[in-house]
Amino acid sequence: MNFRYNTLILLVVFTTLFTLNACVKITEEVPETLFVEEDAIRTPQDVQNLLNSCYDALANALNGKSQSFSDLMSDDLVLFVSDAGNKAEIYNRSTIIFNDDTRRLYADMYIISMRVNNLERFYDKVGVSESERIRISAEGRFLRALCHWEVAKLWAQPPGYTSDNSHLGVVIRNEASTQPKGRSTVQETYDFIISDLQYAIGNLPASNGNYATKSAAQALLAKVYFMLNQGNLALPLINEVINTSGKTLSTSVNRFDNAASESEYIFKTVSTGQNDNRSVEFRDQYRSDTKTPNYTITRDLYLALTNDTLDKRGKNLVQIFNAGNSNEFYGVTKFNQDYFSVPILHLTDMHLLRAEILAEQGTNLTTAIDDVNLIIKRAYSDSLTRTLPSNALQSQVLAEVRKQRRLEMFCEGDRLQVLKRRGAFFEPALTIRNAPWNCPGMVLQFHAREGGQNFVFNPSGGCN
Amino acid sequence: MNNRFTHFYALGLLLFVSIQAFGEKIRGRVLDDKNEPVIGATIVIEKTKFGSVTDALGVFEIKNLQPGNYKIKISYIGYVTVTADITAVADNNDATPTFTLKEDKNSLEDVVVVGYGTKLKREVTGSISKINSKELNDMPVQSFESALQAKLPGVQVTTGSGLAGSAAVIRIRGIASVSAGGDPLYVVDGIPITQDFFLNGNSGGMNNNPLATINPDDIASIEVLKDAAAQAIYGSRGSNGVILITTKRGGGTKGKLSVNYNARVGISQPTALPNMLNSAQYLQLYQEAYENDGGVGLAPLPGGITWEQARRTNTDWVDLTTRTGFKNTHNLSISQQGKRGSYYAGVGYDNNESFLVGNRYERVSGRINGDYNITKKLRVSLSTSLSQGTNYRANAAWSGGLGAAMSTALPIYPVYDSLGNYFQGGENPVRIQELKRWRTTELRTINNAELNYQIIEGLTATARYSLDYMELKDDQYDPAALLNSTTNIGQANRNATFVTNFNYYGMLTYRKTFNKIHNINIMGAYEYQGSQTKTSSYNAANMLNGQWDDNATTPQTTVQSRFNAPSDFYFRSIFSRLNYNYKQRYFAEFVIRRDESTKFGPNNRAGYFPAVSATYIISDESFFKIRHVSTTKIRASYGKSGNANTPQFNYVSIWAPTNSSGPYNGQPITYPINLPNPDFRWETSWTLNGGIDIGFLKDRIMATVDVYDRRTSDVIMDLYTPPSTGFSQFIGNVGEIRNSGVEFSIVSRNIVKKDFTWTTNFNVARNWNEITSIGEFAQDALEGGTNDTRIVVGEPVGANYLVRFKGVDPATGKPVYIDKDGNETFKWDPKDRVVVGSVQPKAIGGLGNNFRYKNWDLSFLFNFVYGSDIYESSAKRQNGVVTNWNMRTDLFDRWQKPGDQAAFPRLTRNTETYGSSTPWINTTQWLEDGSFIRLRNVTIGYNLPRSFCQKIKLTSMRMSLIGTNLLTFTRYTGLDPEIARDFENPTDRNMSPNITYLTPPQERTVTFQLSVNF
Repeated sequence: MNFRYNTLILLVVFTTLFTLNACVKITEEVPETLFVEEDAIRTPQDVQNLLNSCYDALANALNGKSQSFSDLMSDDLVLFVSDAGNKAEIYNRSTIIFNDDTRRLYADMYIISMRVNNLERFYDKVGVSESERIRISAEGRFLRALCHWEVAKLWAQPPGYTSDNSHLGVVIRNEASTQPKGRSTVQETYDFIISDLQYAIGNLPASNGNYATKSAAQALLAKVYFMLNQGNLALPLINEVINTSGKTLSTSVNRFDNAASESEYIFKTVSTGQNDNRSVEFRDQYRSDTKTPNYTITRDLYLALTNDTLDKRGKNLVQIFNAGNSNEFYGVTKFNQDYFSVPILHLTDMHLLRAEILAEQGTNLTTAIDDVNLIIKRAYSDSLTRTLPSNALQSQVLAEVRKQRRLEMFCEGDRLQVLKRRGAFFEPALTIRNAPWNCPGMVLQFHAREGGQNFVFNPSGGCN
Repeated sequence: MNNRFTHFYALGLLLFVSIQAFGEKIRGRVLDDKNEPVIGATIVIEKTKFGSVTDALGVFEIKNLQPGNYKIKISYIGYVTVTADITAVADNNDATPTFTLKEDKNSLEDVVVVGYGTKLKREVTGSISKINSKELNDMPVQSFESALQAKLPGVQVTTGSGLAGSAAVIRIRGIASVSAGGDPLYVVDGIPITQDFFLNGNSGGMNNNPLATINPDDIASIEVLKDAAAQAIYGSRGSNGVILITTKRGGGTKGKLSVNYNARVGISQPTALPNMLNSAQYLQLYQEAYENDGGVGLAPLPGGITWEQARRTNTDWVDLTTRTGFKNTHNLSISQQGKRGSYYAGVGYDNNESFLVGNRYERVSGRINGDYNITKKLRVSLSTSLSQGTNYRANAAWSGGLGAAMSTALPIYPVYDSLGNYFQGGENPVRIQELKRWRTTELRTINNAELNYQIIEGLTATARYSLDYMELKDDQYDPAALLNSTTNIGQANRNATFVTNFNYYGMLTYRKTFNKIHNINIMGAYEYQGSQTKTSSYNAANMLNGQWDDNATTPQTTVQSRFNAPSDFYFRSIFSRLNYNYKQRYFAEFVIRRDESTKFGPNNRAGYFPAVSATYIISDESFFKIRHVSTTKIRASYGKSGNANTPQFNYVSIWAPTNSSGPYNGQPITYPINLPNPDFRWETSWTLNGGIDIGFLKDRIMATVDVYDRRTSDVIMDLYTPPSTGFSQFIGNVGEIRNSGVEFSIVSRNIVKKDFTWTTNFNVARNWNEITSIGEFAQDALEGGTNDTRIVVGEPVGANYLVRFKGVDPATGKPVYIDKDGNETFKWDPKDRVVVGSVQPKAIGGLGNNFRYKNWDLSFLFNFVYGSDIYESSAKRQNGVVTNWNMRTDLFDRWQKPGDQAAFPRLTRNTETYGSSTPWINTTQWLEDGSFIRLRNVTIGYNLPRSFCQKIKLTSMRMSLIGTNLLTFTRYTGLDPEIARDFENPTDRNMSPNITYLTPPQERTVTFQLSVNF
């Protein structure tokens, strides 16, 4: 063969190879079994679906988990199950960095934040209208504030633990990221929460179905200010909620009876059936009619509820089991339902909050007395004998408000927080189940996986 | 290449001479020791410029010569140059005298397979280790890669556990990956094969071994590429080392059919058995724990067993789940070389029972390799293999079987109840073993077709297509008795995976010699590879026994699906290698490869991988005259390679479809599972290597020393993200790892006499491994399984990160821990964990000796691992808080009363006694020195005398008795210090090499082997 013939063969062979090479695909084809971002977000409705998933995540976190973890550390609950593992650590106020129950709750809360932080990425991409952007962002920021606050309450010492709130708060997540981040101070954490809520108040609609409203944001911000002991900032918000939200106090003492108490819900998470049950943790841990509950209430709380035989709450919401026997326990009956929607913000709380702030300030006791008497009248069969007189002393009002708050909101995750607040701002020697309100174990330990290179964990050690 | 040039040059000279119009010629044929033609040998007429090279038949001619006698010099690389006299004859005279070239035994003249070609060892500039077929088949192994153990420096081979067909773990120069596969790239006859160890997860306590279907008897040689110079030609997939497997091809005496039959029969037993408590011992310790916790009376026993029943029962579950396994292997192969072609064909059958009851691996395989010269310039090569490996499964480790015998199968449990039915009140591994039918079948075929065309002198084009197809089917059948069902007579489940893996490449190679001293070899190529995976599964109820794996009889109730797994991937590559040498003494190589792959994110779809290397054979210099030093070769290389052994689509953002969960409040929801990562890419390793090969006493002693420093960045990590990110995991290029080390090997032919030879091989390697960065993440972002191995900056990959156990408090019997500040405490707090122990060995290696006396031979091989610790994760349950696990006799040395000095604390069922709210806590109590020296192999062989063989028409016949793992020297108190556990995923495989969890021990085998050639 001559050189040209060889060259021709060479060219043919390699042109063929090059051509084959050029024809084959090197770009990937994502198989149908993978549902990717490009599939998920195509229209403004998809963005709404993403926002809806934030509520979904919130409902899963506030299905009793967050509330009961808080209450387990307080003086209201008893862990009535042996070999409780992770729950025992919470109850014993000695959680460690491998507690998967606390990790799951913590993660559930931040899932909300992550999804909220993803919302804005898609506004332009799918053409969300300006008004919808504002509404979606406002709802998102309400939810983001709520989840950050829930985490702050459980994983950080409360405002007032240090005079300038320079002690460590929680991680602020205001953008989508997979990278570790350090903790902000409590002051920074609360500033972030307040900022989100102020935006929400300014942009949320007054009415929004089962979703966040302006009143919900106001109620939540009021509670935040209350924890900061900034009553003056909380009061206008509470007043506006009470006066303009359109909500009315229920006549029922069982706030978890949705049908009876719906009228006072300012914000709730929604259960629509047994297969869409967002009250699972309440039902599974407290329910006392079908099984022995894992969580029961303390004798102290039980007596506070039942000592007054006229108190309908004692009759209808709790029950003694196996009385006089070694296995006696005090069960909660208000969660004896297959499923129910969970009230997160409600009017009872607003009245009690206003009453407590005013009682602490001693500036407008009349309104405080009126507020607490609204609750008393509903709670007692013979309410007239139980209401506060109009000339009740400030200390009497304050004591009654705090008493009624405990009896009204037990198992709602409120007790530990209000005690810590009292410890931080009013009663430095206050103890909670025989431990100082500010002992290390009174906050949950972060999970090991949260720790980045510069992450600071809570101190080791419990409260004993 | 100088041969080619010489040929070209000679042709020019001949053209010149032809003008002289002389009519004589010289003609001859050059053969080697085996009477095989030597192709490309150079023939030069001394004191002239006339010359030629031999053709494919070994024939040369030099025409247009004057009549007379000539003295010719015949040379070829790897052979001793010959000078011979020859007489010119008439041009029409085809008499062809024969000249024989003897192989040059110089150690630098071995042929070594490199990526996309071969080289002489002299020419190799990188770090490559090789073993041949004989070394590979000198002992029975579960899978061929296990035979590499202790033979190659820097190649750490941890043999698979005693399970039949189990996979070894191979690490070449340490570990540089975390969540991407850390195993080397396996290339069989040019195609990177499917090597996913997790196609079947770790079901049954075993990872699938994709290498087990390759018949070791078909393998001609294995080369291991260890440095960047050698690996860079494999670009983004070479950085963890490359193992090149070359299968046998036709050869032998021309025209003669060569037949080889090889058979092995042997037995398998465990190297160790667990020391579990018997019934009386168990009851005593269980009761003691109960009483220690304040219990009164007799403790309630697990499984609803009464004390009376328990006292009557004493089941030895270890004995019931183990046995003596029998093995038999038969291989028959033929090969032949003809005028224009050659072939090799082999069939094999291997029935390999392990020592676990019900477990065996059966392989049936066949291979045909052929080469044919269509013309003098065009050659076609074809290879095909078909094999089926059937693993008759038995549960092991955490999944049951012997694992259950070491854990939840209590000696107080009977096998059968009083009615003769299987006991079901607690773990009963016999029941499961006898009722369950389970097998995993792998059908595999690996094929190659290659065209090789010599375009012009020195320029060769190669086109090659390869196909590697694998079908993996996991079939399980649970009869009604196992299901405890009255409505389902049998449940059949099948999970199948079908992987089609193909590649083709076109390659141009050009060799040329300038001025006899400048030799170049340039190679350029395109390659395309694709891997497509489909999976299917079915689950069928009411299946009769026997129908369980038969698709044809699948009833209507069967739920079937077949879909594309999200794991198809493609590579498109262009690469080139330039070799230059000066006087066969100074060698330089430059390699560059560009890889483009669908595995990488859009922002980093393609990468370049260059490497440079050089070699200087200083001993060829005239000035080099050191007494007794016969060879000295100095090597250096620096280059980049990558690792892309990671699943496809790590860079896309996966979302939950609106119909997959929710709705909430009656409205649809959708949400992201992870964020997009368009920057995702390969792991990058830059490796600096220096080495010296030195021979003494005419290369009777050959030593090699290599030092290296490999720095890997963009290490792929599948991290647990901080929960506050809202995501659970993140796969990205996060870390940096450094491996540096030194390797030494020596081969010494101590005695070489006619009737007696003694050869010693020794190699040792030390690798320093260190995580140098994990970005902003901390150690708990990565977990090696559930065993508290972690990624800690400044420590090796998978460092044991544990709370320190100090001992037992003599006063209380409680365990005493040491907190982070060094204080003693009774409280176990994971915040007190520190890096302890040594996950990576300080030295690995092997020592082999071969003796031959007349027809007898004796060889033995030791392998050793020094300085690595083992974390016995199952011991924390066997010897920790008393639960529903059986315990070990170790607990006889326990605290029982104040003042006792004991190894183990007081028995308890209360976790708080041990300072924890959870029962199974990781501490240094379970960390042990795992160093060992093992007599890996002993072989006594006898070769029948040649004269006798000839009488019975045989070429050769050999019989041998082989023992493996006969002796182990170790301080480790667990079962076996050599651990290749079932791993949960690649991260676990990389990070927890020193963890054992109910892992079956290695097997000890004794095998008789017969090998016959005729």
